[in-house]
Amino acid sequence: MNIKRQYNLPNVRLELEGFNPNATDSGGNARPLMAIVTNVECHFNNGEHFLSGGRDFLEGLVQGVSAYVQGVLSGIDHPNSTGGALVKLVAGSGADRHLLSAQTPAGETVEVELNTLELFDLVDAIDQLCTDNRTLPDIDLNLNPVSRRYRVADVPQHQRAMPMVTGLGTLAIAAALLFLIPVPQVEEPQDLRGDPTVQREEDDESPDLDDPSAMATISAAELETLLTEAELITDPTEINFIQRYLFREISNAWEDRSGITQDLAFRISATIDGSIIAYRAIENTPETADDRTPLPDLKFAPTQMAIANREAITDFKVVFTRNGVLQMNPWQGYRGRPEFTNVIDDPDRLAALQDQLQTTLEAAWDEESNTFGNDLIFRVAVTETGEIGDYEAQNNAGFQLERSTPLPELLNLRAAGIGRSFGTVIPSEPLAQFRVLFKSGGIVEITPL
Amino acid sequence: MSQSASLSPDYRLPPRPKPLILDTLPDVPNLETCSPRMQQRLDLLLLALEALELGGSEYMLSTAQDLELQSLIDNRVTLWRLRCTNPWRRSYTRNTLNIPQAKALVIIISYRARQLTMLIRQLLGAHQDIQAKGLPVDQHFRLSEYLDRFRTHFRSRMNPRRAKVAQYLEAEDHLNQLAIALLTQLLFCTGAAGGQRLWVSLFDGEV
Repeated sequence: MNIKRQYNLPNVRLELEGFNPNATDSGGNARPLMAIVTNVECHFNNGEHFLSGGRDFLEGLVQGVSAYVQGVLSGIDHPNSTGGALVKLVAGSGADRHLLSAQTPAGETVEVELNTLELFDLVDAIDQLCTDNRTLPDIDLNLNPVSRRYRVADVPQHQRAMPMVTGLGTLAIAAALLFLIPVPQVEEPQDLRGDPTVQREEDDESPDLDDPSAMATISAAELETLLTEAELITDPTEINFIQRYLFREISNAWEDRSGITQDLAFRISATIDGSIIAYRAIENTPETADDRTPLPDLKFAPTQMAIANREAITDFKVVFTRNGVLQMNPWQGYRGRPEFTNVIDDPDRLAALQDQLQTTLEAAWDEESNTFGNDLIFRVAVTETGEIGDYEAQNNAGFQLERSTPLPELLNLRAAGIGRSFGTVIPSEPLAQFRVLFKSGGIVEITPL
Repeated sequence: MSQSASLSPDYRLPPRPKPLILDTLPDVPNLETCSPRMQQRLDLLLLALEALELGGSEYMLSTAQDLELQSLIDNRVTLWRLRCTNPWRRSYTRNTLNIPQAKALVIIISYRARQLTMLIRQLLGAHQDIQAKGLPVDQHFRLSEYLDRFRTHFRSRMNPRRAKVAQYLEAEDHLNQLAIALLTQLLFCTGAAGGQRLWVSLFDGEV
């Protein structure tokens, strides 16, 4: 007696035809048991195709579809080999397309494209068949996980290699480009080569130089506050040293002295390290007259550090006269007598230094030099090593003819610890003070002050 | 005046130490605990279920009760703790699920999915139609509602500092694809052997 079984799902209909060779137990009230299948047909709602075959086809269908669906569920492809060559499923064009191919008994291959819903209906029909113990109880759902070997990395190999390849590529390109750039010549700024002990002391007091904000220049408004709120330098000695330092700087920088047709007066503000941080024209001097003077070149833009340190300032009146003479005076005058700091007064030392200075100046003071009958009188300060760290004309002739003496050339401010790199124009080295007289005919007379 | 009758039974049967329903899922040899990847998949499927029906987590709890899984999942905190084994979560606990716990979650997923079979089929069908016509996904109200809710849940619960999560969060399209893939997985859970299929598929690549 033939038994027919049908598993109906919205898109798929699975029909089985078979019989039970042991017909004895078929007489009861239970559903008859189908033990042997003779014909299997699988119909799809969407197409004209249907698949059919015998038990081999059914087994292939169960295993092939089952394995493929497990792959869809886990995202790891199952090897379809167990399904045999009879029924195969592969992913179609698109995430929800699946290509089912089955071999007919005649040897042809039938291909059916299923969408996900149709695939689900197919697998559900199969599952219903497998769990139905009155139909072919020997066909089981045999679900097994695939091993680690089939697991594909989350990211494909070539994608994982990508960052390394681009990294190496960038490095290679950068290396090639940098190779073309010439090695820069390192030129060490000479000023930084000062006495290392002095340098360190200064570093300890100043804010961190690595901090870029400390080195940033300040705005006009900030400069204004700095100028109005800053403490004034009142010590006459300090003002005197700043004046001398600045006078020398401005005088040296003022080259074109004939270009001035009227006296140009400025009020300048300077800090203890001899930096001109601001100036403005005064006494009917045009605002734009500063470009005929060296002031724009000498102006030193103050940094945020200046604000942080609350650097004290002092003002000077500077006049560039039309006959080429530079005049400079403290804005508020001297409140006291300028003195010298740190004087060497050991008599033996003074004597030795005097001899040394005598030799130096005599060698440098040319016999041909003409003082026009005047004595040029200077105060000269000498460091312990005999370097001239400071000097000052003491009479008008000395002032006028300063440039004909060897003093400007012999001056070594750094030896005395003076300069912007030291942060001060007050000599940090002890100095011996002498009175020096230059006379015509190469005569130099020196007396201790 | 009538006295209202108490609807709750006077006593409940004490839950069995090991729910029998777990035996419907085969044991996989040599595995005592779950891998992070399995935990992540289970939590994402639960997330998709939540996006499918409002109050999804309540239904999960009542399902656990209906199926006598209280010994494993007795309240919402336990359920939440189990779900926090997903390494993608912001509240990832670094705990691992044991096999009975994972089985319980699989059973709840397949049971809930079966309840929602019609909706899942409808949404997937709509997605196929929309794709075939090349229309944007928000053309279908119900589908765009699901995707919207899924994206919201994903954003609020997953840790954006995880590279994989960040990838999903970057592109809405990417996240939509994940939601559809999860919907497909749920569809296969609704079948006659859906629970077993999901359970076995969890171990793919792990043994």
